Amino acid sequence: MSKITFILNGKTVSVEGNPGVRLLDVLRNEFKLTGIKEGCGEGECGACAVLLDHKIVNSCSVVLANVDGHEITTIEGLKETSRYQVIRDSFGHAGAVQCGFCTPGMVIATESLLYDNPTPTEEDIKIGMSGNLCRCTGYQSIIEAVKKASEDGDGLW
Amino acid sequence: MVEQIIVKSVEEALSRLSERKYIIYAGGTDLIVQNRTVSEAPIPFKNPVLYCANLKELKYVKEGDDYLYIGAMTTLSELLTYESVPKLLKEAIEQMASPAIRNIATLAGNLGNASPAGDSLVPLYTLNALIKCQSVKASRLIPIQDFFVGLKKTALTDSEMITEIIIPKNRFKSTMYRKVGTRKADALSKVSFAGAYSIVHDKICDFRISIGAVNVTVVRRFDIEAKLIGKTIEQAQKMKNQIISLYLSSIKPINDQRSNIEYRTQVTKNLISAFMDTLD
Ligand SMILES: Cc1cc2nc3c(=O)[nH]c(=O)nc-3n(C[C@H](O)[C@H](O)[C@H](O)COP(=O)(O)OP(=O)(O)OC[C@H]3O[C@@H](n4cnc5c(N)ncnc54)[C@H](O)[C@@H]3O)c2cc1C
Ligand code: FES
Ligand code: FES
Repeated sequence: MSKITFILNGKTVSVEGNPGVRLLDVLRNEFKLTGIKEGCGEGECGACAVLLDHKIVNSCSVVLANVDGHEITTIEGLKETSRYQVIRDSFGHAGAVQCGFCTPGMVIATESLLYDNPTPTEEDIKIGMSGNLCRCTGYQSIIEAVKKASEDGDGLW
Repeated sequence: MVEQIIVKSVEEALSRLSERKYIIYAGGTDLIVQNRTVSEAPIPFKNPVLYCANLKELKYVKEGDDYLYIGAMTTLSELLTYESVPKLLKEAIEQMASPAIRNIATLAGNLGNASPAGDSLVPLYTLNALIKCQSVKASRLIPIQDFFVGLKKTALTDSEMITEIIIPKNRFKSTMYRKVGTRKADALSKVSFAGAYSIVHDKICDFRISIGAVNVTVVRRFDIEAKLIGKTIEQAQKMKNQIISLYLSSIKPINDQRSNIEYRTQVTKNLISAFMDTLD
């Protein structure tokens, strides 16, 4: 048993229990943050992506122990920001959402990329989104969406 | 449930390791996939675990006069932000996994996992990296080619952990890194290659080739490299076929789900040939 304390969507939280559980399960089951999805469960699809200290990680591949003392933002937390509004609108505008399963992860990947690099080239966008799979859109619309977010969100990142 | 400890210092980690065998848990990107069973269940580790990822003491890149020192818990993404990290290593890291994995995975974890397809291995072999293995009692500096002793086997003892990776500062005329895989992101290598050379007074004075995923450990042949030292570029080009066949005699590629023997052999030939064509 360990006590793990971290910042979740801006609030300090503590979890007592097995440090060897996946962050994904803690977020979905204990905190009822179900925006993140489990796709592959092996780090390959990005459906479970969250931000750890502003950087994208796959919550299926992070154990609770490693989150101790860090800051986690999920899609629910990101939703409160003006940057999210820009990403949401650009995804809508570009038609980058079909079934929506990959979308929370795609939005997190976009935020992580633009936080690091507010004016990415197309190649930067492809690299930034390379860990996120989408079975519906064929990616081009997602790349367009990220491009549009970086243009429309001028100054926000 | 096995004992699981979030260690607070390197001293604590080493003292615990001196008492019994533990799984050293860094980013966990390999360990979680290797140990997980069903969704939502805690990871059923077979041995006690030391969680080390948050050891700040081991998160650094420091530059000395002759060497670069990389702390074991530095993530792959962090390494990409340092000017001092050699281009050959950066090129390999940029092609490893995806941003989300690179943000937590470590170089020490790639070494500790000891997969012959580990992508940081070939650049580290070519760069003559040294692995610092520390226990309560002592610290050993092991040249990378002696660190890997067999398929998925390293020279680490149960009481040791990797605390640092040390890279001699080299100034090469040119280097070449290639990863041959399937999908760009998240794909394991079928063959990987890191070459480097230098030339002084029109003669080759340094020539290094490391080839990954074609044998149980990375292939680095100092004896073949020595044949090219002191040669002019023209002489070296004439020896190309001979050099290629020497390398082919020391590779033992396998058939697996990612590729087959013929493909891996042909790619190895092409990579050595392409590298020798860059001599200039
Ligand atoms: C989706 C996905 C894609 C991937 N793509 C690639 C790829 O393209 N190329 C590639 O090479 N790898 C790839 N990997 C594998 C993995 O990400 C790397 O091997 C990574 O570098 C492991 O680092 P880690 O910190 O996560 O290691 P961990 O999983 O924490 O540890 C791996 C092993 O090393 C040991 N270890 C860790 N740190 C130490 C230490 N300080 N001292 C002693 N032993 C230690 C552990 O005990 C364990 O046996 C991929 C993995 C996933 C999930
Ligand atoms: S569910 Fe985590 S990356 Fe696929
Ligand atoms: S919209 Fe369906 S998986 Fe991306």
